[in-house]
Amino acid sequence: MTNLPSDEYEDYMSDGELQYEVKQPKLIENFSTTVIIANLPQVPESKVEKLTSVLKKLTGKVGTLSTATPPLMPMNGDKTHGFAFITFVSSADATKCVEAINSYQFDKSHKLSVHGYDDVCGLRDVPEKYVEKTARPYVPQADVGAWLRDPGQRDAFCIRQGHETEVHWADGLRDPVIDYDGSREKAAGIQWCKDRMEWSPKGSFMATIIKQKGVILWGGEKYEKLGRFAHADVDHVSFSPNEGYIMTVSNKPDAVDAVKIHDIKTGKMIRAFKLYPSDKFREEDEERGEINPPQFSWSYNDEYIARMGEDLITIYELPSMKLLEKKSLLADGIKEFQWSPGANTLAYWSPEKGNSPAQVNLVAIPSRKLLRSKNLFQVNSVLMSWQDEGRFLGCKVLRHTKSKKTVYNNFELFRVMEEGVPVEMLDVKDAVFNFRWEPGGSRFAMVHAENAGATRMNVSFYDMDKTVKADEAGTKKKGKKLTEGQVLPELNLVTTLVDRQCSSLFWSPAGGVIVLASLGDSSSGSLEFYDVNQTITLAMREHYRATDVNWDPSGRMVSTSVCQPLNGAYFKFQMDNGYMLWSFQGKQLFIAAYENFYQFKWRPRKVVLSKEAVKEVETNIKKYEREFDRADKERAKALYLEETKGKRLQRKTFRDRVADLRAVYKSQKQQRIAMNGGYDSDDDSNFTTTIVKMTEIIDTKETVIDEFP
Amino acid sequence: MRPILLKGHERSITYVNYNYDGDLLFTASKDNVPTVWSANTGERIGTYNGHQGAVWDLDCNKFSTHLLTASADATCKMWNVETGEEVQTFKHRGPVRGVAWGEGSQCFATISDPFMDAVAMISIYDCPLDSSPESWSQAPRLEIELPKENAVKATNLVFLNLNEALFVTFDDGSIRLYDVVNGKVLNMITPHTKKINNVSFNREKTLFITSSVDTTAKLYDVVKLEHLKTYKTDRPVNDAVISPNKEHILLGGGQDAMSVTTTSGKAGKFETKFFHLVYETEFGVVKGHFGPINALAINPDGRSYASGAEDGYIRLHFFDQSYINMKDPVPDAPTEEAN
Repeated sequence: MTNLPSDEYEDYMSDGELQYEVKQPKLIENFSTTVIIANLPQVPESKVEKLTSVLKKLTGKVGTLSTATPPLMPMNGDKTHGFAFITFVSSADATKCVEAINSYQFDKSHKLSVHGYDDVCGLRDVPEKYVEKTARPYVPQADVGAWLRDPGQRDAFCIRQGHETEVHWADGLRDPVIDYDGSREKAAGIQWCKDRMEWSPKGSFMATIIKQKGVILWGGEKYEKLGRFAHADVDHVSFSPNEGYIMTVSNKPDAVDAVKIHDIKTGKMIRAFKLYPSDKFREEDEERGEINPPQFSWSYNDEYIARMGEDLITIYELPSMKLLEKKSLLADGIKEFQWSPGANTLAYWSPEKGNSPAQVNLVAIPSRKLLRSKNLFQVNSVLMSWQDEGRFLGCKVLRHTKSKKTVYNNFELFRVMEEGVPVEMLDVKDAVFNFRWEPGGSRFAMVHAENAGATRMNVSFYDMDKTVKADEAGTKKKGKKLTEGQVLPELNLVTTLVDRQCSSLFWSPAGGVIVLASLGDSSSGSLEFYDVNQTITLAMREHYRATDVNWDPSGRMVSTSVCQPLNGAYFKFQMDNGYMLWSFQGKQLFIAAYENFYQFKWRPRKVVLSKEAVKEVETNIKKYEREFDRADKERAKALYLEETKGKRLQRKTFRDRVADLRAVYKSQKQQRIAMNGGYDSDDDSNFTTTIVKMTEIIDTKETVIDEFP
Repeated sequence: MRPILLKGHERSITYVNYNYDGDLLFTASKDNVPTVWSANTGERIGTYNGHQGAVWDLDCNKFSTHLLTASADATCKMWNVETGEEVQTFKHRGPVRGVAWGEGSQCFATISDPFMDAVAMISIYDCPLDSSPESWSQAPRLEIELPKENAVKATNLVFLNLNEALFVTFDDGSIRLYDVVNGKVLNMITPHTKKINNVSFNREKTLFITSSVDTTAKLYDVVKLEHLKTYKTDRPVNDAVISPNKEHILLGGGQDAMSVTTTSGKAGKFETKFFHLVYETEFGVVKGHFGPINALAINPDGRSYASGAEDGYIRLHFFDQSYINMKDPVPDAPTEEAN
């Protein structure tokens, strides 16, 4: 106690009078923590308490309510005015409340209108005279289509490896070259993309996901920042097919804004939703955690967005985000729905329930006309898949026998474009693992095997259309004479490949060619390039441990890659990380290996030409071929000259360096000879080179080839 | 190219090297018995018996008369190359990790790992070969204690610049140059972020290449210690050598021995890779081993090379004529002909 540091305890030990400092709460001089909720039901005094408690519950989910200032609901005579003041603890909560609860359907006839109190006060002080606002100066927008005009007709892809995110060009002739690797961000000390990246459906934008903050869009020639959408704990993003809107989703069941829909052009959020629709998955629902939240899905032309609820599909119109015709589409017992990729048509299926059969229904939107309904019995599950133009809908129906002991497959194939939507059936006894439509075609492929545990698979190709062959021409069918080349709507088997190592199917986006791959943990990564038009195997290849196969949008190249999960949960195949590029014929073009490889994404590109224009190009292919060949040659020449110039310079610098070093070595020659006892190790005459040729007779054998007669 | 498979060792190979003339191939293994082979025929000429532990390193002098071996039994032994007799044993306090002859074969240096309370040490011995071994001092001429902090271990050593400096690589990715008289650090560079497995020099000792666990090999200039080239792979690099008569690099590696059992030979990447010295591009691989390659050596005539691996085999490869005739991919003068 003797050595107390005196200054430290001065105040403590001081004999001076105690001074009280009254702590007063800081006065908040604005009303940023208060919101006005208008358009409430007007209730008599007796019901005010109940309404207040409902409001408290509603707003309490968004933020913490202030206890000092309870909700206030002014009276107008014997009824309330129909609005209330709610005060939160922080202004951030108040802002969130405005965002989340504005236009909330409180009950059937009351849609809430929520505004910040300060904003409303602003309206009070409107100046008498209208002052015209000056227009904002025009700032040219980044050209998001610039990459499509690449003179080399190359395709782009993005990879995530290590800490790097790189966009490369590939043309299938030369090694990929980097277009942009986030160098500007690196220079600023930021990592361009820390988590995941996604391309928009037409390749105009690149979205990088920042888990804590939200989503950033990049685009244009120099990959400028084109938009940012704040969303804490974002897990998924989804672009609308025409790139008009973006949806960000965070997997938080309690958040009122777990799903946010934004307009890409304005950068504003247009509506927020809870993860689960209130009617389907209530908070009391204990099993909630096990159910995947029903995803919103976009209609093909950005007109609608829909998700399913209990016995209904809610469809919202874009961009207003209002419920279509103010009511949901009734869909009794719905299990899953899908938009057609070619029209505003919804397909959904519902399982058997009591005495009513399982159903697959096609509904046109907005007329809500039932286009086709198909009843099915003894159904376990239905897997729906649209052909990419929306011409056909395939349903793989897993059915059980009456005893429910064995299951079998059966396909219901809808010809959606035809009058009355005829449905064809195809029974398959085998277990079916996978089926895929040919893009832009009428064929589909499926992987099947006799039993579910088989290791060797069969792959069958079916065609929805039958082309009349020469030998069938002239015969009659249904009273009509057939001509060669005529296309009949008739399901037929193209071919079956037996005994294949195959788990996944990857059609070329151009059609005609398919890659049969065995992917996943226990497989070898074998790849078979198969030409369905000519029914021949183009190549058998292997990419050991491959996890992904991707076609480039033009169908020229295929990439196979070994990726590890982004969250780094397990490092199973650490050694093999990387990707390979192949031509569509299975020729290996490029290999890249990395220590950690996460993502490989081709930049999507929609075909701009109409079907007729494509046909026109195909007939005049010779003319185009010459042009392209010439351009290719010129480019190759320029590149070769450029490259060799650099390499030659590199080589010269290196050789000069080595020559300088040799001079240093030579200058020490005398000392070295002295050290080695007078022996000059550089003197070639110390060596004699003798070439020894050795012949060793391993074995001699004599046989009489033929007796001479 | 059909290699000669040298089967003689019972455990994984730790080091292979040719003698200065290129007619003998010395190999060290964890099976305690260094072996010498004919570099031309692959015949086993003899073994050097006497070590009680794994042999980590060896070095034959320029005149191929004396061989030094470094062993985990805490000794360094000198052998008569021709007769296989043990000339002298130099006792250390810890496992001997590396050994190197000085220019002129009148001295040599060793590095020993820390063991019990003995610290890691660089020791320089004098051994005038013209006097009898009994007259040599058992105690080193100079002992340099390695820094104890961070527990760095030395991995390789070489005499440089006419025995004026001792070049030592470490498992933290650094290289230090020591003065051989007073043991002071003359220079230090850190080419790698992880352990340097091996270092090898060109014949004139003007360039060196380091191979590291960080999956790269790097080429440096000996005089200025300047970085010249980097060769990137997707696996830890165990050894890399510079071709004596071509602008090529040979590089061997693979996963560390610990994780080998979890993958198949196909995925383990146990090939020797060929890189262009100047352009840093890979242009070829030689497969064959079924364990990671621990050591590589190229014959001073540039016509053959040997690789030793964890699988216990040494593969002696003689290059095909097409490799020997191979020209630089870039022609000397710019031509109008594309491709």
